[in-house]
Amino acid sequence: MNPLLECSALSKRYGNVTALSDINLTLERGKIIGLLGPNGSGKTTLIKLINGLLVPSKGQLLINGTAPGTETKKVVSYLPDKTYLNNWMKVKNLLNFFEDFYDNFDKKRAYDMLEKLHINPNDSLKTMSKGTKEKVQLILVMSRNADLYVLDEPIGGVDPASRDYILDTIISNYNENSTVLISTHLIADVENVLDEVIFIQNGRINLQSSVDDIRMKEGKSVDAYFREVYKC
Amino acid sequence: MSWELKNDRPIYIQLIEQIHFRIISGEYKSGSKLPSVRDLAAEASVNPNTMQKALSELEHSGLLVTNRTSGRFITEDQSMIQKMKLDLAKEQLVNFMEQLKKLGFSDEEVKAFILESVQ
Amino acid sequence: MLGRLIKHELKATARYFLPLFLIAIVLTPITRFTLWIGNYPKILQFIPTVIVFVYVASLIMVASASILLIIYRFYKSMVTDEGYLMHTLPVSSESHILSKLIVASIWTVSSWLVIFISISGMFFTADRLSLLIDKLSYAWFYINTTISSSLMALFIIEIIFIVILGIFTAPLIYYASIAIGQVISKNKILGSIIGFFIIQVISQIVSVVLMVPVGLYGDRVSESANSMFSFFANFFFPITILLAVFTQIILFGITDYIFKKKLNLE
Repeated sequence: MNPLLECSALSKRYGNVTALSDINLTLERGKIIGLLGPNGSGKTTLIKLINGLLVPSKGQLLINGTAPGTETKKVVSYLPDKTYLNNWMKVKNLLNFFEDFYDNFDKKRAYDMLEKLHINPNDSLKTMSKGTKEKVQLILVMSRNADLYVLDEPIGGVDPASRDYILDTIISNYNENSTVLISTHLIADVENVLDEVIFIQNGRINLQSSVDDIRMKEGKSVDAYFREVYKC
Repeated sequence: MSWELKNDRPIYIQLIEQIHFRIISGEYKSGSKLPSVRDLAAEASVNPNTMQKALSELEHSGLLVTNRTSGRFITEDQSMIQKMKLDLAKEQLVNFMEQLKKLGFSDEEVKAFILESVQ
Repeated sequence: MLGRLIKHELKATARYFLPLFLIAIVLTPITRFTLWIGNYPKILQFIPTVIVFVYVASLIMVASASILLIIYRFYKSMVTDEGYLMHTLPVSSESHILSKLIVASIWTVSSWLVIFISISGMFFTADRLSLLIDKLSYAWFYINTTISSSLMALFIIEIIFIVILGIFTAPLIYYASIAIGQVISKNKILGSIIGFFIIQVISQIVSVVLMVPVGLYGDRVSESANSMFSFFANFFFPITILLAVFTQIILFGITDYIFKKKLNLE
């Protein structure tokens, strides 16, 4: 079987700025992986490339052996770091929308999760707090049976209880055929949930390792190690 | 009892220790069925792979017994559990002795100290 | 997939258009009635004035809402944050553009219909209708006796084509401008305006260049009705149609290419 995600000599330039440089990366299935790096390190660029929102300047990016396009978008579920849904839409409209366009969308699962959070499907996004909106977005993304989930800063700017809920949702949606890629700078909060971490800086990958290896080798948490490595 | 996990040591090792505690304390009764990997991982807020690793180690050491169709069970082997209890106690004792030695107490002083606190 | 995009797009835009259409249509009998009353005492004269004003305003809004909303919808869903949702759907960018184009034309034609219905409703009387029918049948009779019917048929078919094509041209110009805009500038609105100008300049140049031979040829056409119709039906209209099709393909292609390769959402 193909590895889920494979980058070879992947580079992306915007004009004179090189956002990603010679990225070689392989992601296996059945893992929860953290993409960690300071701002401007190239995390967002890599994520956009995975989702087909950007095309590489050089090199190759393959998902299930295919370059990003209509086929890969069917199996990649993306949670961007912003409110990207139409504000006037009601939650149930959104569920129907996702069901229409994604064959692997599990509407029942979504409704169950919404109910547990006491979110009324008849409410429109406009009327919701930022935290609730983010939960709705997460529920929509995690209710798809995708091969690769890409979550960009899923717990930034939410209260600790919501944070726990989000992490628990990620854990309970886990299955051995899918991989979750979490891009975040809040490392300490997600460390326990990650199998592997990827450190990225200045458009290059510094490290790809399992969390346990780092803790054993360095004798400290990934968060502490990260701060050490990226001290200004 | 909630799962207390520290950040600077591998999680799976800590999970093994915490499951040891729960078996000894009786929270996980011997012979009882363990929740699924998924549920345990969600309870502890850890990666299911990590929980799986911990459970595999425990199976290896014999504390957990897997029945292919019905799941994982705590061993009924009381002597194994007793041994584990003793090992854990010994470990704590060794640590304790070392700490007190570092503080400068002699063996006699430690003995008196213990007798006093148990009174 | 295309069908679903169209359905979703219609749902998203109906909430703007339908109320507008309803207002215009409802205002028609109201305005007509207000004017029918005829003589108003001086103090009440503001009533018909205001109502006529509102009615005319509603018609203007129906006429202009169409293109404005089309532009706004495209901009919002394709190059702002909503683009993160749209461009990650498992749908080709051709389908996106096509669906928006189809919905744009549906609303454009609907707007025309609403305005037509409203104005007919305002001015309809049995007398006027029979007068209109009279004049039209006379004109039709006259045309049929002076111009060959095959030429006439061609002429009419081509006019229909030109009108239909025309519905697609305006949105495509704006779509391409918006696409170009997000490539050339961080300020997408400014960039779209610049893109719009670039497109206009280029198309004007091309039109002028093409119209020179057409104009020269046109000069030589004799003044008989038949040869004038012939000039249009056999020469001028076909060129216009070809030009329109060609332009639309290019505009579509530019927009599609940019979304596929040069998309840069922020």
